Amino acid sequence: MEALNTLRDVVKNPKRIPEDWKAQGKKVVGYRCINVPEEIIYAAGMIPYPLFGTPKAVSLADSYFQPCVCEFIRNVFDLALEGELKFLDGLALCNTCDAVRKLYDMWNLYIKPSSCYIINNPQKLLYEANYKLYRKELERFKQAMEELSGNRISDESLQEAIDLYNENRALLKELYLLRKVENPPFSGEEALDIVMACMLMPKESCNQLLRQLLKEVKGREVYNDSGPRVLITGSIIDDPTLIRMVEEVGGLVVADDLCTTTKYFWHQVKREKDPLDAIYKYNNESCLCACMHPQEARFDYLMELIREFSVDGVIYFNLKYCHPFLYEAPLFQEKLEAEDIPTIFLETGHDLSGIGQLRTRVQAFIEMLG
Amino acid sequence: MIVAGIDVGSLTTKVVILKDDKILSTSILSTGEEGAVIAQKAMDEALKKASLSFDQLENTVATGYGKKSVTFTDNTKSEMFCHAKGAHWLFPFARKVIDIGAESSKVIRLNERGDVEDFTGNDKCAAGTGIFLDTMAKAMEVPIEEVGELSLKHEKKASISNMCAVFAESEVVSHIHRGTPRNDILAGILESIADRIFGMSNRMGTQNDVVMTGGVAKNIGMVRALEEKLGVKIWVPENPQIVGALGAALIARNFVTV
Repeated sequence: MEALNTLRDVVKNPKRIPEDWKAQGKKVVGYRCINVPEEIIYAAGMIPYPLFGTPKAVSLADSYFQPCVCEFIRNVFDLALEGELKFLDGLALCNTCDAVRKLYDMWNLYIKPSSCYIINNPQKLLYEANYKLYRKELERFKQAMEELSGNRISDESLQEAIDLYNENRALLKELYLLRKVENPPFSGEEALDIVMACMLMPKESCNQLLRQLLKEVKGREVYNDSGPRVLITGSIIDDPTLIRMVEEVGGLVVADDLCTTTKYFWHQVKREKDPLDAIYKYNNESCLCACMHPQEARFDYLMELIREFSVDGVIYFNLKYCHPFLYEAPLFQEKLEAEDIPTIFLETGHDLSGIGQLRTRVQAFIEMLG
Repeated sequence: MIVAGIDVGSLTTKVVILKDDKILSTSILSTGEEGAVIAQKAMDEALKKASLSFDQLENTVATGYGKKSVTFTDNTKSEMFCHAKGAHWLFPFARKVIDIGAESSKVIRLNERGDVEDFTGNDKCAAGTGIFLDTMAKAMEVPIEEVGELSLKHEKKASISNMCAVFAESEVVSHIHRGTPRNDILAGILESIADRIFGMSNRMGTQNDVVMTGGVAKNIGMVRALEEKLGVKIWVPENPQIVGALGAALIARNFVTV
């Protein structure tokens, strides 16, 4: 499993890739949320770096944020205050939740020197009236990336970036669909690592690895026993502990609906004459996050995953103080119950506080499904 | 067929040995520091009482907070399942189990076969658990065994509004200084736990056939306070502490037959 090991090593040492990139004299732009068009950053000759947290407890950031603010954002800010993200030449955020929006303000105030851009993307999606404003905004973001990199982004280079990213999405989806079988070729924990590695890597070398991985996993069966098939949805998960716990007590995590997994690659950027139009449509025509409307579209997408992957039960995960998903949880649980799909709501801190106490509940849920 | 169930709780470890439909023996020990050692001791004690040796057990299932520390069996089941099975065996009509242990409290909804349909529990802090009650009893300087009976003699329940054990303790202390009668404060403490359980219980629906398990069910004042809140009679087993271990033993029996 050479390709798999290589990918997993990338996640273990996430700073290695941006450091290599910088050694070649190129710039690195941090970003958060799936609505930031990475293709634009990439077409400018820079590498997008997804902001992930670490499972350590927040310390410095607690002097800047109230303790009831999203633990992921506080954790990221903590890393920035400690100088762990010094290699970033810029930061691109977008209009998703309040915590991400305020990270923009806090970053500009306290993390110096900084070049932070917040994309004013619309939150009411599948809505034609967005075009004028959002298209203009993407244009501005493109200009900002051109200024930061010192490189012009031509339509051709942007289209090339889109094609490259689309290939990455297609490969990841092909890999993910292998989990539909009774005994999937890789575990839920491995799946999270694979996607997180792809988010970190330059796409040329990443696609090569994915092609190799597709060959490697052929015929592989990862679970010793059959067990209930579980889907995890909810807030950001950038640490495998919870998924591992579900699998340790006999659940098969065969699908997930997270911004660090399926949401990253499920849909393709469709070809348009103008590549910015294509990016506009990609972001306007799918609604995958609890920050966005209409919620029905997100639920339909979740149901599609549940059916495709023959899911027996859904774990609704909420990161402490992640309000968009917290608001959505009871609505989704009610809808899933109406479809006769058992669900459980689990909440932990980003530092994994309280996860030990969750084990019994996770085990009981898996027993209930079995 | 002889089987055993062991429930390693955060405060006590319980063993039940079952022969067909009869409980042969039980044991309850303080969990202390070494889960594995106490588990062995509790098992040895129960075996001795039943005049059996470990080899005569056909199967054993472990449950509870420390189930992983048990070295003599690899079979584990969650506390929710074990309490549901145990309660259903004792009271086949039960559709809801309220279990309040030392550090956990849970409400379980079960069907007519005793299978878990849904459950909820405290998983963040000590509010609504035995430890909370224990801390308050210490603050009141009342032996924990007497809290229930004394609380029933209250005239007017004192109000304890804090869920946090640390803040609630200072609330209790200020009641003492204000001269609030002891029994009223005790009743207020139990009421505050009942409030917390009531919220969890409602999330699981409004079943009438409620069984209470776990060590705190030995406190008659707690049972009455909950009955008052829920508006139904609550059934309490003769020995509520061993229901989890009993359920584990019942599951051990099925592991063999299936």
